[in-house]
Amino acid sequence: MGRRLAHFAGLVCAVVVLNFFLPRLLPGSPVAGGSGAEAVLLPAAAREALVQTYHLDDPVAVQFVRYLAGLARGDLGTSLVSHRPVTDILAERLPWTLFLVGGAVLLAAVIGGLVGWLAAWKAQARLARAAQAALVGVGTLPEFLVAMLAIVFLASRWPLFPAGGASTPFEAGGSPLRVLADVLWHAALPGLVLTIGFAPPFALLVRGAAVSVLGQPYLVTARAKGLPPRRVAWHALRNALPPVATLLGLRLAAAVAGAAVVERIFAYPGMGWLLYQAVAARDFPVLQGVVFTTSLAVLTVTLVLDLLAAWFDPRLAGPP
Amino acid sequence: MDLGSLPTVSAAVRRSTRSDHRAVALGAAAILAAALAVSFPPAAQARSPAVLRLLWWTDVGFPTPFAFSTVGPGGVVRLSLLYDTLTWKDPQGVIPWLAQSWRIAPDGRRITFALRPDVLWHDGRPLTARDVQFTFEYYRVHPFAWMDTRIVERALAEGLHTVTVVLREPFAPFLEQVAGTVPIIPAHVWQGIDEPRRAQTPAVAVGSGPYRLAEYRPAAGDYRFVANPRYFRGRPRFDEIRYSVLPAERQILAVQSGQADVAMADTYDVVRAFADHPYLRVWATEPLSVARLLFNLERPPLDWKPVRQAIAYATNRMQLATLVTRGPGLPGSPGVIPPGDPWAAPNLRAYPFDPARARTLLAQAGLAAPSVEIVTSPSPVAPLLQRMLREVGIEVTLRTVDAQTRAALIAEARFQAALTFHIGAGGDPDYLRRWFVGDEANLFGQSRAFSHPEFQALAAAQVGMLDVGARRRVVAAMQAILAEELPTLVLYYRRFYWVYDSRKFTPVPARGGLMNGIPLVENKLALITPSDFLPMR
Amino acid sequence: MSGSGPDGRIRRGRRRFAAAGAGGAALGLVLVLTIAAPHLAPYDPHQSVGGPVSPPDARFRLGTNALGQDLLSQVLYGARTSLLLGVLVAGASTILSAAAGTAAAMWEQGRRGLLVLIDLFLAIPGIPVVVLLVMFAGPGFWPLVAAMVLIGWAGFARIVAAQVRVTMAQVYVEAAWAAGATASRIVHSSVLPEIAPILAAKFLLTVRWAILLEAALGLLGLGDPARPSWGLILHQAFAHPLLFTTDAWAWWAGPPAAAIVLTSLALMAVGQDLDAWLNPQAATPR
Repeated sequence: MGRRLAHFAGLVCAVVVLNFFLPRLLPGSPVAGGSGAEAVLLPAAAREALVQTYHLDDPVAVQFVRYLAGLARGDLGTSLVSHRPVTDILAERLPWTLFLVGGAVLLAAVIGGLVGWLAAWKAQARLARAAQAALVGVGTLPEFLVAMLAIVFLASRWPLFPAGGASTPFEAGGSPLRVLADVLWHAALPGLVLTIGFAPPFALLVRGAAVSVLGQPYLVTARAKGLPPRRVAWHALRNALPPVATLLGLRLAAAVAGAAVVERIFAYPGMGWLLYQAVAARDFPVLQGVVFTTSLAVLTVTLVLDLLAAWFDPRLAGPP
Repeated sequence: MDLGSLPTVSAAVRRSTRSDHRAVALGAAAILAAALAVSFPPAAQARSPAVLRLLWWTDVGFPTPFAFSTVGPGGVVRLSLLYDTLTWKDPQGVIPWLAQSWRIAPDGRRITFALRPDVLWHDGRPLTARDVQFTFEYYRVHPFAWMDTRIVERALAEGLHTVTVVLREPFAPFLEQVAGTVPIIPAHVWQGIDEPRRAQTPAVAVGSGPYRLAEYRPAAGDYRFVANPRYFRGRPRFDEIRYSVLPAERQILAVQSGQADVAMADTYDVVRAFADHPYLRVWATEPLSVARLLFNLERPPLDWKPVRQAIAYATNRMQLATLVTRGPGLPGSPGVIPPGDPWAAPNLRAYPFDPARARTLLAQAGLAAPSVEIVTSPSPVAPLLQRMLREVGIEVTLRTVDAQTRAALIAEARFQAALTFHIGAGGDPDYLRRWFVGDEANLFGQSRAFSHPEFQALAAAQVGMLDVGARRRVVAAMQAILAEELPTLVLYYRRFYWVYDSRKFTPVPARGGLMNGIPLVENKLALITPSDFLPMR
Repeated sequence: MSGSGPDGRIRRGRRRFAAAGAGGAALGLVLVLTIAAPHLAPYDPHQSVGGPVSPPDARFRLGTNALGQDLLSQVLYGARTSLLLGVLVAGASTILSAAAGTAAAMWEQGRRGLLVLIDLFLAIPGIPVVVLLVMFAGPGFWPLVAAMVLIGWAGFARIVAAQVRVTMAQVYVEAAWAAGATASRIVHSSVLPEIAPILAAKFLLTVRWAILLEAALGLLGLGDPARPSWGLILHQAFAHPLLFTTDAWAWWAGPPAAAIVLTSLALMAVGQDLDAWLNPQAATPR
């Protein structure tokens, strides 16, 4: 336990250090440049003011100490582009990403798990196998392609869904139910695209785990002797649960990072798109905030999964 | 391109000079009022509630002059709907705005503005000379991020509605570039705010413009502006203006499917695509954007003029322009200012496409096969250019980087040649000075590199010349030097093409682009009705 | 992995063979097209040979792109870039995960450090690292390869380490140790044969992953504009403002998308079956 925690702490420290220094190796600065192909120039006075306000010309070591001091207070700094506290920005973006990507992961786990389970349990049923094959097949399509097709057909040719955004802007005064419906309606297409991408691994995992149990000689014998199907199913399910839980945990943790490509295509205000914008504008505080939050989430989930696994099965305890 | 729906410009107004500002003001405003009345039949005015839905590809920050985003021109233009400037531009040039008239002292340094007496801030307080004085004082401490105001030594309120701006030295571009760009801010709001960038509450978003901020959602980049019914210059045409974010490549589709009213493209094919559309029209801006090659004049082999000239002969700029903009190409002029601009000099040295001549020049210079590295952002232009130069024996390697990295490499002069795209080639020609010897030259990599004493002297001289004819001659001489020395090679000029729903909206161009050469569509002249649009005395 | 009975196993095996066979055939076809691209392509893919964005006709079988370049030639040459990138990324990252995984399992002193390193790479989100690195080095072929290798090895190194530890615990390996065999000999004789199958599966699946990621990054504008690849063609198609206002999306974005999907499916079929057949317990790597 102690060793795991030390390992965790070491990793967090490494993330903090890398997170600060790596982006600063990038050429370019927040006070010059532009974005995309276009060059944009700030007048000298404005540049100097920015440098002064945010101490951009301090030695990197001094900036690092200031960053650490802020971190200790839970202050992730101020965006160099929008001049707002990074924690505010993250607090706006994180819920959308958790909702969209996290929701897609959960949905994918349920759908993928069901399909995989059926494929294992009713191995002879053509439908179950076809469902599995279809899911895996669609899952191999690149997500940007699925996204573009969804937009062409479901948002433009037949505009059933909005072309972008997370909610209808400025539709104030609706009941909570209407707001929820609106948010779900906006999340439908990007959510669909992500779910399609996430589901196949769950299906494969559940089927693999279930099949390996169902094929065990003792279970084959037990079934032959008339063990009720429900108990057999329970056995197989229990065996499939730990790896699925692990995959689910890791995918949920990774969901904090958002989904840059899908978020950009659908103009969804999530973490992935935020990070991309922050890199393009060299908005270091925002960049660090996103990477720090994401890495911390992944590390924490990994730690919790490790601890849980060790608790369930003491043989796994020991060095990670 | 389709300019048919735009007001035609009266020749009488074209003739007028800037010497009599009142005449310009009167004439321009009258023509504009007439033109607007023509282009907006009364039937169109009856629509209500009118909402104009505009698109941009990113959030542009909180709309105050301190917090807006400078990543592109979207922020500063949006600001212009909430705030006003002393002057503004219409299709003919500078027109009175907050200032109804002005007088320039003979020394060229003192400009006395007579303000409109009937302007109110969004919170109902009157806008006075004191606010103008405060604005320039406040910007000295907290600079306005889009335009330098350091040329202003001080501003003095002389009574309620008269203010004199004292410049450090005579500055010809002042009326257009500073007075027409810098938003006037309310003293009673900003007084006592020490960190204006972080002040991002509705309470500080107080301007005097035709629209006021109703809602802003930073995560989504959604803005809702509502009409300011007491606007001094006329009733806002729309009850609401909404901005939302959509990836650039899907904006046209959104307009076509009725999800937005206006969208931008940068290629000519949209003009063809919507030629027969029942109500979507395309408005082409002036060619305010340049694609150009910068040369580092301190790094061989580009320190040799013959090599730069050989590159100019070797590039088929017309072909490049036509290919990339997919329409009638506007090949780059060696004098930088777009041909057709009133400041463009005639009879500059031209470099017609002539590979044989390029090879001869290289051979004469003793450089049969020079090699050049071009720093570029991801662009289809770079590989095309590479092939053209290889044809004459110039071995080109491309170093593809993102815009930030390119800016850093250029600013530190760590490049041989660089390909860059930017707007701003319109309006007052002072950009020739800024790009090549002024402050911005650094970022365009030429302050250290283009040390041409004569050019520097001319650049310094023209900026203080209030006589247009004399200034035009100096600016022409500057262009002649640029064309001969080629510190940069403009490959082509770009227009922006705005697809708009003509049932709702009609663009009004601003001469030389909005403010300092911005090819955007949301000119506030197009967003207010002409009802109260007669100049005051 | 088995079905519910002996004959189920055989049936499934045949089906698997069929899927993998079809995948292999498709891969072979793509490879032939790739190698023969210079002979098959009707035009120089970099040369503007026609009008911009013209639909397919007799001269340009797949039409032209925004710069009037022949799309058929671009797709053929693009296969070279996409496949080369995939193979390079997969090769390098497979070797890296094999080396790191084996070392983490066998090298007592370096073990902790390696595990921390692996965990670190697993913790830092992958796409942001690629975006960062590519922006740092400039969008280009080699930076893209390097960035993908860097984020593509860690997850699999863990699996290799686990497998090697299992192998090391085998009686015959312990006997070899006791008899004084060197580490390199044990790796050669015992470890490599054990991990080779999962490495092969990882390789194929990583080729697929790299091709898809290249295309996705192209969409964010991080591709190499000077080298046609399927991702770049798609990026240029999607950047065209009028793509969806006409049927250009079908004939312009269609072929490279189909090529990506075909290759991806083929690699998936071969890779996954190889993986499942040889190594039923291991989780599927990306």
